[in-house]
This record gives sequence, structure tokens and C-alpha cells, in this order.
Amino acid sequence: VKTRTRLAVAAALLLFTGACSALLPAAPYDPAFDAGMVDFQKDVTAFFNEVAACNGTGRGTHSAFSDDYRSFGNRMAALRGQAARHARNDSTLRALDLLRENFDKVEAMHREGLIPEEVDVLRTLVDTQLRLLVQLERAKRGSAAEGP
Amino acid sequence: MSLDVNELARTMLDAARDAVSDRWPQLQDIAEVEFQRLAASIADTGRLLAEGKIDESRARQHAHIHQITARSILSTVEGLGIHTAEQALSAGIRSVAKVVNGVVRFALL
Repeated sequence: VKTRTRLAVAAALLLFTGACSALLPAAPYDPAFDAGMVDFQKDVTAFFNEVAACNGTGRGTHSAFSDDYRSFGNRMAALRGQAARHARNDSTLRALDLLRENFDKVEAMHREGLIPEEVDVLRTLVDTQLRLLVQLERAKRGSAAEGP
Repeated sequence: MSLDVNELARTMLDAARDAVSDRWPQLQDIAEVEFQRLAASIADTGRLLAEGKIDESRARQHAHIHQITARSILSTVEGLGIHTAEQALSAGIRSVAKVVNGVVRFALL
């Protein structure tokens, strides 16, 4: 009877933990992604500072920053690739896609020309996205083992 | 040694509630702060439009970026909530691991 009880308890708990692992996300904290996001955030902040400083001058046009946009696009793709290495990392992937979407719109607006007040608005919005991505990644430290 | 299933459930629930109750106010705070910031930014766009510094077409572009940012905030808060739930589950499992492992006589949990 004791053995049967033990087996029943073990089976129930395995079912319970199995069901939980199927329902809950297990994306681990990824220090490489965290570091990459922090670096990216710093560079984007510097970029907006530069855009603001050059605004209204000949150096503030989109063409003067086209290399930055290209580089940011590549880095966002690399960060997405890093995040996609982990199963059930949907929130981070979705946030990265939305960041990319906003960056494309910022670039489109920059092509048409930006006024100084707009740079502040755009900086605030993009910074919000970047900050939350870092925050989300760091929240994973408490819930799962570290990833590669 | 036998297991009281109700007691185990209550132990896990208590541990989970503690873990969640510790985090939920933080999640609420994050959402409130970020949406407050977003609202201020929308107001800035409204001001630029009212002052004639941008036209309606441009204001629509701003609005689109605001909408994307709002979705981003929601997605992040949702993600933080999911990890909170996972922490609660881990706390629940840890809370009963000693008892369960003792009954089954191996490190099941």
C-alpha cells in the first residue's frame, strides 16, 4: 500500500510539474542578451543626443545618420536572433518586433525631416521600449536558470 | 509518513500568494508609470499640433508610434506577470519539496 501511495503521489506530482512546465514560459535569463540590450540602449541614447544637437543644421538630415539606422537594424536583428534561441520567449520577441517597427517609423519621419520637439517625443518613446526590454530580461533572473 | 493533499495545496497556495503579492504592486507601478509617461508624450504631440508645428498627417505618424509603444508596454507587463507566475510556482514547489521527497524517498522535486 505504501509503495502504491508513493507511486500515486509521484505520478500526480510529475503530472502537476509537467502541466506547469507546459503552461508556463521557461525562457531563461540571458546575460548576453542583457548586455547587448544595455549597449544598444546606450548607443541609441547617444544617437538621439546627436540628432538633437544637429537638428536644424545641415548635419541633422537623415542621410547623415543613414549608417546609424543601418547599424541599428542589424543589431536589432542580432538581438532578436539571440532572444529566439530560447523557447517560450514570446514577450521579449514581441517587444523586439515592436521596437523594430517604431525604429522604422522614426527613420521614415527623419527622412521627411524632424523638428527639435519631435526628437524629444521620439526619444522618450524608443527609450521606454528599450528600458522595458532590459527590465523584462532581468525579471527572468528570478524565475529560471541562466541561458547560454 | 503520509501526505495531506489539502495541506500541501494550501502550503503551495500560500507560498504562491506570498510570491505574487510581493510582485504585483511592482507590476502595477511599472504599468502606471509607463502609461503616465506615454500620456505626457501624447500631450506633447497634441501641443505641437495645436501650435501648428506639425500637421495632421504628421500627428498621425506620432499617434502610430505611440500606439506601438503602448503595445510594447502591455507586452512587457504581460511578460513580467508571466515570470511572476513562474516564480510563484517555483516557490510552491520548493515549499513542498522536502515533504514530498521524504515520502517518495528520492529527490523528485
